Amino acid sequence: MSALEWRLPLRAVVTAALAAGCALVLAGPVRALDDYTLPFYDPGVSLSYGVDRDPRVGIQLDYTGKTWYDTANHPGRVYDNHTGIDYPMPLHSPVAAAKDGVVASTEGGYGTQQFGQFGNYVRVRHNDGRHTLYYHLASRADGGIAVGYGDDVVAGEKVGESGCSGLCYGPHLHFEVLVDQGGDLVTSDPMYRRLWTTWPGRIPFRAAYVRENDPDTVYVRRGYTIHHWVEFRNTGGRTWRPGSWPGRVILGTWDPAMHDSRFAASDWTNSWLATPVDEVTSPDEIGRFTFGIRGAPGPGSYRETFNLSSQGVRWFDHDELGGFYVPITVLSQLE
Amino acid sequence: MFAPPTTGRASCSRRGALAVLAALLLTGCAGDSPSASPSALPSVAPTTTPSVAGTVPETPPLPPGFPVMPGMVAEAPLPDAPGLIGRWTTKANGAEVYAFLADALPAAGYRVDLLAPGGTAAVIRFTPPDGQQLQIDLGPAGDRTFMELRLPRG
Repeated sequence: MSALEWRLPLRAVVTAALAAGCALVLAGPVRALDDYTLPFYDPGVSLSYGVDRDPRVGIQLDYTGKTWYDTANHPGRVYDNHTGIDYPMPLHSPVAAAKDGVVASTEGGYGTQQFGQFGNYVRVRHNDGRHTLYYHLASRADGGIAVGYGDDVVAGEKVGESGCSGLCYGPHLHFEVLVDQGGDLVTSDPMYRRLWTTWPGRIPFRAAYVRENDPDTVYVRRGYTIHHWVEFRNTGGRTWRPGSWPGRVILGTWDPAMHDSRFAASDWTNSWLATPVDEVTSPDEIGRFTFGIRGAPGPGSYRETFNLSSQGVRWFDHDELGGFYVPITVLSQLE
Repeated sequence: MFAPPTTGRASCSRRGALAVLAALLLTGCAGDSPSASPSALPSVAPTTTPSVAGTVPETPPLPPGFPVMPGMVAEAPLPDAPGLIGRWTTKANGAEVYAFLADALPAAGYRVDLLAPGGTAAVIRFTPPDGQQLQIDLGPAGDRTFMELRLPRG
């Protein structure tokens, strides 16, 4: 199905509302979308335009509730008759699913920067009845479409790469949250009244180093194991879970990723996965990761580098973790 | 590749009077035919005229070296809109105009303060050296793309 085809019901709803004299039809149930995150990974991205909640030409109602009686572009707020949220980003920036769901439709046949009525997109259906749309993507042949119809996607999973296909004045992602109303997909404004907890914007996976039980060099006798913990604040938009995939956040070896550690203790999940988070950690909370360090190699000074990962989905930005590593000195058994 | 213009832009700048505009048109500074080179600054739009004789308009002149994409056609006279410095249209699509400006503004020595691309709209804010911040608006104009240069607005 083309982008136009599935947009037709929306146009019909808007037209009907106008005929009935209704000023605001961008509705959908207004309630917190507390498990949606921003559809990208770069925390530096901010919107260029939000949804115009008034379908009339020349009257713009932005997400803050301000009405603009003009057709001017208002960067950071809205432009006239805009149906989604625009996020500027360079071509081929990764685009992430805002929530778990199933891919309901894709289009990838247009050129990455092919200007015209239609463009490339991925649409995901979620179990709350909403859909999310990721538009202006790069072409499938150019790596712009990373999923296929019917694929299960987990929150934060890459679904494609940004482009500038379709009606596009500069590279950006057009993102929509749509509500299924009797088969019609009606755009909604997740930023309206700041009910979307991603306000002013939470990317899926992000963390900041807080502390550890021994921030200096860890000493361990050869052949013995000591226990170490480190804490990170969940500054992203997704809850960290210790249990099964998806949503499981783990501490694994880094630089290179998933290398076999010489310090893996018996409590590690495997040779590179030190531990999942100890307890469920919601956004803004501090999560602890407790794991053993075994003095396996010969006496000497070492370091082991770790990073967080939403297992099977994406590694975190290691720089934001302060380049976390553990200095380790292995002592001889007689010392 | 855009090359910063070296022509004397001051002579093409607005002084706020129709007489100046007429002189510019006569000297070809405001010709609207496409140019082979963007550095030729093919189209220089006039800016608003004072509404009352003798008053000094607050709208600044076209900044020196402002890059105009080849093939752009300047609108004259300009619509009476506060803060509007110039308006052009082109057959180039919005993505092409946006890309041209994103490259040409810094190449012309301007500091780009904001790039706000959108579906059928874009805003670019920039500051010329020793100048005040200005705003470019892009949007559709029928089957063409318009570009407006103006003072920033909210």
